Amino acid sequence: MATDKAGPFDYSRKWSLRLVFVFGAIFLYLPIIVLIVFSFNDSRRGGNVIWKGFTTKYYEKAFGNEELMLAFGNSLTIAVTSTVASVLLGTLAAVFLWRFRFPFKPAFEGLIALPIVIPEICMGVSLAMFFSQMGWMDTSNRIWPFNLGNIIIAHITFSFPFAAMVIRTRLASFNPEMAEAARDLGANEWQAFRDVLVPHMRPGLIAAALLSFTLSLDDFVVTFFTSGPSTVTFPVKIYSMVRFSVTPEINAASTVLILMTLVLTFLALRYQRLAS
Amino acid sequence: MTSDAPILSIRGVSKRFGDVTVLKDISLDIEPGEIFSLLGPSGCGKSTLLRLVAGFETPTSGSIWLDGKDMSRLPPNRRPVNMVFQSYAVFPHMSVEDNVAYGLVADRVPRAEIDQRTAEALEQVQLDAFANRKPGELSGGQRQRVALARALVKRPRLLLLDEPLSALDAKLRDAMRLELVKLQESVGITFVIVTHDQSEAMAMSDRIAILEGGHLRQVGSPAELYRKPSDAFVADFIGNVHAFEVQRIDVDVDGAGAGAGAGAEMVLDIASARLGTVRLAMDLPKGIEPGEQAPESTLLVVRPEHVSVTLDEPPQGSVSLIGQLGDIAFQGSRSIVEVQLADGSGLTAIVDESIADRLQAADAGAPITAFWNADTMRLLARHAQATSTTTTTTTTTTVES
Repeated sequence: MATDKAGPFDYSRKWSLRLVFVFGAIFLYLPIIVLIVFSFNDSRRGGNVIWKGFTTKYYEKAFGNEELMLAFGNSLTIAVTSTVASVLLGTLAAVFLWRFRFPFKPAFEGLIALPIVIPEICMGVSLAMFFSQMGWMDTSNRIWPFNLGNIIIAHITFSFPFAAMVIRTRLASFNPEMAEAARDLGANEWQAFRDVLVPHMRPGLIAAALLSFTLSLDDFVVTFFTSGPSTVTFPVKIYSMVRFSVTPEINAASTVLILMTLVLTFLALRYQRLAS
Repeated sequence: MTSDAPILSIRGVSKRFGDVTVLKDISLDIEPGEIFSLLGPSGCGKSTLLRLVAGFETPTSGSIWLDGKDMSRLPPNRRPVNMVFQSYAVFPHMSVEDNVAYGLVADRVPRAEIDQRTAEALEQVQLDAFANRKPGELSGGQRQRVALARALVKRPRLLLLDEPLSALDAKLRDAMRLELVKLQESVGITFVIVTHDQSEAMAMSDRIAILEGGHLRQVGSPAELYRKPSDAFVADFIGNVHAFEVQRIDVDVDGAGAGAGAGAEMVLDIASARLGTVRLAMDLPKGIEPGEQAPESTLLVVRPEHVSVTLDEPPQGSVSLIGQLGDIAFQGSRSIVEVQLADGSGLTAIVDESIADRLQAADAGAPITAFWNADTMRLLARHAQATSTTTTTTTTTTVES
C-alpha cells in the first residue's frame, strides 16, 4: 500500500494532532458528562464519585424545590424579555449602521461594541451604582415580573451589542439591488424592508436571539450585582446552593439547563437550514 | 398626446455625487416602441442615467419627463417604469411564481388577475414549468427570465435593462440577444438598455446614445454612428478606426472658402505625408477651418474594412498610402493584411480571397499601396480621450480627383 506523507494541512492524519484533539475534547466535555451521569447517582452528595446505583429522585427533588423553580422561572422570563429587546435594538442599530453614512460613524460603532470588551465586573459595578443612585435597587415592593426590571435592563445592555454585531455581519452580504428591485416593483420603503431585507436577515436574527438567550440565561456576575435581595436567578441560586453543599440535585438542575440549551440550539440550526 | 411625442424626455440632466460630476447636461428623447441603448465605457455615467430614470437617484439639475409628465421627483415605486437588474436581484426566498407576482401584489391587483397575469408572463419567458421552483434551483439564464417576467408582468411604459447580457456565457448571450429583440417586438414595450459592449448595442438597438465621461457624445441609429461618427471617440468606439493626425487642410483650386460643404475639394496633409487633393463627402466638423495649420486635434479617420491593398497602381479617385507588406491573417472568405508604413506604424486592411491569393505570392516586405475611397474617410475632431492614433510619416501620396 502506498503511504503518502501527510501534507501540512492534513491535520486529521497526524497522530500528534489527533492526540491533541482527543485531549482537548476530554478536557472540555468529560466534566459535563460526569455532571450528567452523577445526576442519576443514588448518593447524598453530588461530589461523591462513587456510583451507588441509578435513581431519578434528584430530578423530582429539583423540580419540587420551590425556590429553585422560582429562580428558574425568573431566569427564563429575564432571558426571553432581554432576548426580544436585544434582537429588536440590535436590528435597528445594525440596519442604521448599514444603511446610512453620518459623521463620527466609526466612533459610534466602537461605542456600540464597547460592552463586549468591558470586563463584566466593571459593568456589574457600574450598573449597580446606577440603579442604587436611581433608587431602583430595592425591588421587594414591586410585583413580579417588574421586580426583574433591573436585571432585564442589565442583560439587554450586554447582549444587544452581540445581537447588533451578528446581524450587521449578515447584512454585509445583502445585495442592495434586491431592495431596489422591490422598490422598483412597487413596494414602499417599509414593504421592501419587510419583504426583502428581513428574510435575508433571518439567519442572523435567529443567531442573535440564540446568543442573547444563552448569554442571559447563564449570566452570573452582572446579575449578581444588579439583583436585589428578593430576586434570584437560576445561576445565582445554584451558586448559593453550592456554598452549602454540592448535592446531586444541583447536578440534576444543571442537566436540565444543558438539555434545554441543546434543544434550543438544535431547533435554531434546523430552522435556519429550512429557511435557506 | 400625439404618437410622435417621445415617451421619455431627459432634459438637461446633470448629476453630482459630492464633488464628482457623473452626468453633465444630458438631453435626449426616447421614442415609443424602440430599443434604445446607452453605450459607453465603464464610468461614463450610463448606469447612473438609468438609475435616474428608474428613480433610485434624483437629478442634481434638469428633469425627466415620461409621457409628458415630470417624474424627476417621484419615488421608484410610483413610476410606471421597471428594471431588470444586472445581478437580476431575484428574491431568493420566494418561488419563481411569487417573484413574478410580487409587483402585482404590491399594487393590490385582485388575486385572480394576479394569478392569470403571472401565468401569462411565465409562459412568455418559457418558465411555466418552473413556477414553484426557488431561484437557487435555476441557472443564470433562467434567473434572468424570472427578472424579465417580473418586470414585464407590470406592463411598464419603459423596461430598463442594466447590462442584460454581461453575466451570461458567450453562447447563451447570442441566443438571449435575439430573444430580447423578439420579446420586445411581441410586447411592444420601449426598452432602454445599458451596455458597454458596442457589438451588443449595434445588433439590438434601434438607436444608441454614446456617453463618455458624463457627456453625451452622439445619438443615432447604429448605421449613423458607424457611418457618420461625430468625433474620433465615437468612431473608435463603434468599430475600429485608423486615425491620422491632420496637419494642414488647404482649400483647392475651385476656391471654396471657409465653411466649405460636402463635395468641396481640398488638399490634406497628414503629418508629413501629403494626401493631395481630396473630395470630402462631408461637411468640415465644427472648429475646423480650411487653410493655415489644422487644429492639433483634427484627425483623419478610416476604417480597416474600407481599406484595400494592391501591388499595382491604386484605382483612380482613391486615397492611397505606400508601405510594405506585413503579415496576412487568413480568415476564410476574407483576410486581414498588415501594411507597414514608413514611420513604423501599421495599417490593417480587410481584403477578399482573390487579393489575398495574389498577396500570398508576393514576398514579405514587398512595396504595396493601401488605398480607400475618399467617401469612406472622415475628418473628425479628436476627443481628449480618443485612442489608437496612428501618426504617419510616409513619404509621398498622390491622389487624383
